[in-house]
Amino acid sequence: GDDFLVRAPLNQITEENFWKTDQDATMAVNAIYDALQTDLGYRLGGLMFGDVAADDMTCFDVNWFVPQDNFTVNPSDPQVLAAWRAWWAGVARSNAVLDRVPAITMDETLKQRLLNEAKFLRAVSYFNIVTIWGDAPLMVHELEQSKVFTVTRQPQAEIWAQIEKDFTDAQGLPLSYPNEAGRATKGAAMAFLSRTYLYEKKWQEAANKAKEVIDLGIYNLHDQYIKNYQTAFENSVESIFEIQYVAGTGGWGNNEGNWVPSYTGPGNTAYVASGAWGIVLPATASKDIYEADDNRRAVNLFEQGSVYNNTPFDPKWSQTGLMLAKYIVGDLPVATEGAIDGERNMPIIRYAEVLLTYAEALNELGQTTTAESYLNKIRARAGLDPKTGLDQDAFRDAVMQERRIEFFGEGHRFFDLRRAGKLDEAVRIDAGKANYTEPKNLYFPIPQAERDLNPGLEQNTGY
Amino acid sequence: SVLPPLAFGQEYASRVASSSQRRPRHLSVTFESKSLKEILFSLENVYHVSFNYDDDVLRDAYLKENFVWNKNEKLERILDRLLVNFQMSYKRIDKSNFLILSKRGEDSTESSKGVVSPTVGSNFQQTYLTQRLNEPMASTRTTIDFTVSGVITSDDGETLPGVNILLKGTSKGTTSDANGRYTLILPDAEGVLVFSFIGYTTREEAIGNRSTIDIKMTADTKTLSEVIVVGYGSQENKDVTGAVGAINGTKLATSAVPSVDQALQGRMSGVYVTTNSGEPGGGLSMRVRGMGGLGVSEPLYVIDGVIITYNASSSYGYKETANNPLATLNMADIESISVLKDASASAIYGARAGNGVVIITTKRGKSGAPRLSYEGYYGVQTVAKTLDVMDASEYASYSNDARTAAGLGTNLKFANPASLGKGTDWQDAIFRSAPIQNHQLSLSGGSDNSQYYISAGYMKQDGIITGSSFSRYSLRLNLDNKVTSWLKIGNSLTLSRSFNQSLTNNNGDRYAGIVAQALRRSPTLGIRNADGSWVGPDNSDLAYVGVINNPVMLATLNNEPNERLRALENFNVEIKLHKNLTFQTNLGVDYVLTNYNRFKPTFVEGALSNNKPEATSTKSTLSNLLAENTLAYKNTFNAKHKLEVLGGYTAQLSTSDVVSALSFFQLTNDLTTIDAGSPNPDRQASGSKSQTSYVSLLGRVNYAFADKYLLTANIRRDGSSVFTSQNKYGIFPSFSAGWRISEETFMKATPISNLKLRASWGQVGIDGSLGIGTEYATIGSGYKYNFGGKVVNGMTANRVPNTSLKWETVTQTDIGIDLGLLDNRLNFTADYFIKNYGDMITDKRMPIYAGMVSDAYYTNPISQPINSANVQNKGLELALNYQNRTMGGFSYSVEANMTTFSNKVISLTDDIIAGSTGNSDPGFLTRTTQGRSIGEFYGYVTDGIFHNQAEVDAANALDGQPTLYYQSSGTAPGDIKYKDLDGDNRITDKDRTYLGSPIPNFAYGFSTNLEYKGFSLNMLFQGVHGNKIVNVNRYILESSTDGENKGTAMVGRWTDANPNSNFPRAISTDPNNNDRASDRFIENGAYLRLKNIQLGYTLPGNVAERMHLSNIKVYLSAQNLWTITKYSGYNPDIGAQTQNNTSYGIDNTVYPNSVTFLGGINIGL
Repeated sequence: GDDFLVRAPLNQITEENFWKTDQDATMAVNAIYDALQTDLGYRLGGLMFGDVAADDMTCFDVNWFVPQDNFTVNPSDPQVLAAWRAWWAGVARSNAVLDRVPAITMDETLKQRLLNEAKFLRAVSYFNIVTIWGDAPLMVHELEQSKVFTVTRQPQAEIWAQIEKDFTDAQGLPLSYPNEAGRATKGAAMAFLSRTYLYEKKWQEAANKAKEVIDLGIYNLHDQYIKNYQTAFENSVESIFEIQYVAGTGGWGNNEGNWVPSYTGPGNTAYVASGAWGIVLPATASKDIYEADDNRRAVNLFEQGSVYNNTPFDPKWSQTGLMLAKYIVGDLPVATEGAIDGERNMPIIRYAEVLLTYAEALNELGQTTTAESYLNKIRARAGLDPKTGLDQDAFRDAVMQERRIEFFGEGHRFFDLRRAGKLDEAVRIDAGKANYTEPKNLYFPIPQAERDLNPGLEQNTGY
Repeated sequence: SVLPPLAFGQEYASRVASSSQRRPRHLSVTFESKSLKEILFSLENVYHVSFNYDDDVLRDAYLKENFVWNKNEKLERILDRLLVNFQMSYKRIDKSNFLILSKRGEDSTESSKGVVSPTVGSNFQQTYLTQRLNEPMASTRTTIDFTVSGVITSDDGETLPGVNILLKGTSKGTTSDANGRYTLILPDAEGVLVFSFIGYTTREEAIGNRSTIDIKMTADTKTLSEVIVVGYGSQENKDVTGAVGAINGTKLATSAVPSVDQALQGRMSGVYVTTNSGEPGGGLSMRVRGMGGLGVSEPLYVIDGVIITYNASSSYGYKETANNPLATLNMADIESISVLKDASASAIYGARAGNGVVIITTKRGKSGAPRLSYEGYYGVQTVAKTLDVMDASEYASYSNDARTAAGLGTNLKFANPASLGKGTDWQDAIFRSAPIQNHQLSLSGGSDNSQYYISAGYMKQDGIITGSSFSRYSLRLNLDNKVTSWLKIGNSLTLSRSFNQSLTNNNGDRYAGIVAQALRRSPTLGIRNADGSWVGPDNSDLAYVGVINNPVMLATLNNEPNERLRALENFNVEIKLHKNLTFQTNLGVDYVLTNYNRFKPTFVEGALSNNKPEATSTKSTLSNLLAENTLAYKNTFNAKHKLEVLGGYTAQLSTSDVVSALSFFQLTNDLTTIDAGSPNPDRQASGSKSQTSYVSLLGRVNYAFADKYLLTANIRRDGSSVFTSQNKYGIFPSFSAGWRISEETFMKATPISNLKLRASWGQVGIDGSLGIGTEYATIGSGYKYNFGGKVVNGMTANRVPNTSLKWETVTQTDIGIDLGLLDNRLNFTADYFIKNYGDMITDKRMPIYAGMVSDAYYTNPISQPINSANVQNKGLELALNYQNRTMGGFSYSVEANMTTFSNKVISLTDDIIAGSTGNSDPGFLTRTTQGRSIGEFYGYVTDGIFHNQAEVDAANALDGQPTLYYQSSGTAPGDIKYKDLDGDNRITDKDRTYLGSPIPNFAYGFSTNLEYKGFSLNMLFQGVHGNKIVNVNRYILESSTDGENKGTAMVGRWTDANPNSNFPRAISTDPNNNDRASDRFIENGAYLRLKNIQLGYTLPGNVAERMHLSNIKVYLSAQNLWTITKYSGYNPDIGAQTQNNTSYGIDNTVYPNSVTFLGGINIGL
């Protein structure tokens, strides 16, 4: 009979026996977070797309981000492919949770929370997809087999609408998790939503949402900028959402550690316990963007005169004479960390960003004066004098400059320049990256391997 | 026939009753009567037997006094006492049937009912049964019209028991008794008797009113009436319309080899056997009709009716070579092997028959006196060939050159190469003369109703490399029992234990295998120090001689036993429901326990050591349960329409269960168990379990008209757990037709004794690539994240199921001709086939936006198995045999066969790149692409050597760009030049091309058998032509690098002083990459080999008799005595270590083959 002929794998969990319990649901949500932390997800993706591709950072290692740096990136680029893999895994895993978990009989509060987490994480994934590649296939359910090879890219606006919707829904998340710091919170959904509106130039919504975050009253700026990069202050008052890393879980592969110190630090083991490779370096000019007395400079840059762990920085360690300090300088090196197995979390959205979002949006709405105080909170913490009396354009430039320094090496610069329409000026003209061309380099190429499988997936202009 | 009056029985019954009442109760019941018929009748009732007699003869048989007997007496004794009064005797035909013989000593019945041959003539039994059922009282009494009797002998004068005698066109018949005698009672003196016996030419003899017909049967190894085992039954050769190759055990036994598949090499057209390793117990690859499709194309094995599911892919770990399903079988037990080649023959095995089916039938007992026989041989094996490598002084000189060229320092110990002398010959050190022996004792015999075949075998083969061996103990019990006239049960049981001590990495590893180590190890190093400790390189040596372990030490410390216990059982019940209808049930069990252990010992040899011993223990259990029920109908209508119909229902369940454990740091090399290792956390466990099931319906119709026009149709409907829900059942049909032209009247006057045309078409399947649970979306774990500083597990889908995946379909068309001349002393068979492997399963990469990764590392893209590729095989098979016997008693036979190969990938989306040389730089060696044959070698084409700097400069200048080099910046005189195929004046990846195929143009074999007055000489030659081999040994022996020994060819390497050499310069760094995959290492793989030669002498019968033996034969035999080949490696007979067609013909320093000399004796009691 038929039953005799039905033999599910005996050594693997299948769909048929998964999606049964709250534990299954929880683990399925955990796996979405896992997608976010992968190589060219938030682990290195921010540096590659946000910083190396902009004017702040550079790369000399041909095995890594040189094509992103000098805009020779092509559709076969393995790093772009790895990022594509990370974010689509985030989307698919979220969709699986959103499709399957509702049918599970379990605690309704937990269920609702997990579904909201999935919506948040799907929105985060799509946020990265739409900012890196532009138009994208819009999938809000598990992909049916019959449609796998026929999906097409939808206009950005539709993707943005879905992101808004998901973040809006995810505002139902709890404000915090007593024992599970790192899960998406209500504040994170709100902050991401305000960032989304900002990217969409929906100034009023952006301002409103940022103000809502501020009014939550649970976030504040650290008294010192450096605390954002100290393990002791992870997931604390300024942190709204960060990628969680722990050390000591292995070397290459699926370790749970942060690779960024290994990619940005010098070979000297006084800096990174097992020696780092300095693959991603601050551009030479990036030491010239600081006002005098900006206390963020010492956090962002190792340069001539820097001393860390009693060891003077030797500019010869870097082709640009500079190294990114912020993921190293906050704590002393931990001997047990492997070469790529760092402890520190990656900040994804900080309260400082909400303040600057609010300031930027208010300025665009013509409320420059109100906006000034929020910009000046950031400047004050950096040890700088307040800026007052700027007109709208000047204020816009001031916010841009403040964001550049405040989020140096945190994956924002490329996208901020693009929002402002200043990529060409900053990257091609000022930073001298002659290959940069528009509209081609506004977005990154769709991986060729994907288009080979589905020719209906159109390539971005110019590739 | 005469019916006794019904009243007789009633009267009798009352009389018995009254007589018993008169007797005291403590005495046995006694009977008394004067009438012989009456006495026999009462005996029938009491002893539940039947007497067969001539009613006329017994009608007047009365005693003068009452004959008294009682129930406690033995029946035979009663009969003795009784019949002596009438000068009659009796004969017991079987358990319940007796013949009463008259004064003349002749049968007093219609016939000797009941002896049923397993193959022919069983209709007779059926008639009898039917009569019994219809006429319970009267069935045994008939009138005689005519009696014929005689003695049947073989052409050498021995009487033949068990010969079937049938009155042509009827179901009347009998079989000869133990003395070759037969008696048959017939309605009249007309008609024709047909005498048939397996292995003898069937004879027809007109009765012509003779009452005595003595017959001499002629032995025939290849007669038209030879019974061929086919799927779910057997057929006479003349009726076969499919392509079936058959060979009997006698012929196989002329090769004294450990395993059946070895004996098949070169024996049969369309069956291509290659050796994967010369290691004892090592595997072979068998390909039926062409190379097959992508992946593994091994045939399906059916042993005594049990479909074997144990194969390489269901094994654990890498010991696939030991998983030869035939290695557990005792050669001497084999009665016959049939290879079902075309779709017509194999479709009855449906979804698993796509690569052909090999049916192995073991010996069964025959009625007659017990036959005890011993067969044994003992031999010595030596390595067939060694490779020429440098001696110590040559190597030292080479090392100095290579390092100097690379700007590196040289070994101070090598300062004066000549002083180092010969050094160690490592091949000599690891190879040895190794004994091989085999002993088998068998006992067979039985009565007419039950037969037995019991055998015990022991085989032990030591390997020609120290440390390797294979042994096998086997026990067989085959029983047949006719319980009643309509019920037969049979049993086939094999118990075996095979034990393999295999060498670490003997195969497929250019670096770590012992053969590779022996080729690579520097001859400047010794074997043992004076104190017995192992010699190894010291720290100063390491850079110059490499990290290459002492191969003698490795072989000596080797500890990798693999024990396999197997019980293969088939229980068979056959019920005659009607004279034309038989129901049969088979219950099969194949239970295999594998106990695989590996111990990596500690050792110290100079600067090399291992201080982390490691023990692995793997236990695997395979249970394969099979139940088959078939119903067979057989009838002949109007003497011309012969119809056979078979229907069946089968179910099979296979379970594989594997557990493996690993521990480290055992205290000594003698403590090799898991628990002798250090405790947790240094212990690891792993395992796997899977199940597959089948439910099938099968059917066959054979129809023959006038023995001339033959039609066969087969069908099987398979349902399987490995099939996906959308394709849960597959239907595999085949049709074939035959025309026996020689039976036409217009052919009678020709010298053609047999001519048959055959044609077939059908579809069969391959399910091997489906995998387990393809349609299930699996959820993987290990997608971890951290919350609150703690790592938590995450789970997500990691496989894209394909719910519509189906088996691979092989569609085959066959046209064949069978021709017999000179009374079939000369037979010729030719077949042309086209075999299309369609819907072959390949992995289709899934788009990443579908969101899945197969591993927690996010590196492997997800693939979905899909039915896509298509591979075509075509070929011609030719087989010829001739046998004759001169007047002087000299008999001889010659057999030859040949098979051509044509393989083409018709469609394939993504090229398959495979065939690595192990863990080495040259990387992949083969490429399978659309439009070419599977697994062609792929790489660069050499264009000689740069003899001088001018040639290098000229090449670099070709593109006019001074900064770009033709090959490499380090290219210098003495480096290999490669051809610039794409014309860009540089050597790049694009300059690689296809370099030849491992698939031969044709394979062939021929054998002769000469016999004269007890002497026999058998020879088997075998060979292939038109194939290529990658000689990976030469990657070691002819590379430019140092740190390992080189072949003597490199003594003549390019140097300034020897600029015209064809061998590259010595340079440690090999900047030109002279080692890359190129035609340099590809060689012609053709060979012709005298595979086996055996000279035997059978002692004359009278001599044997004086020794109280029935026969005695002694022989001397040699295997692989000589080989003609241009191939420079150890052995041109190279299969595929993984059995995968995409990596065929790669000689990865495999275990070499041996030359074996042996002597044997066969004794029959």
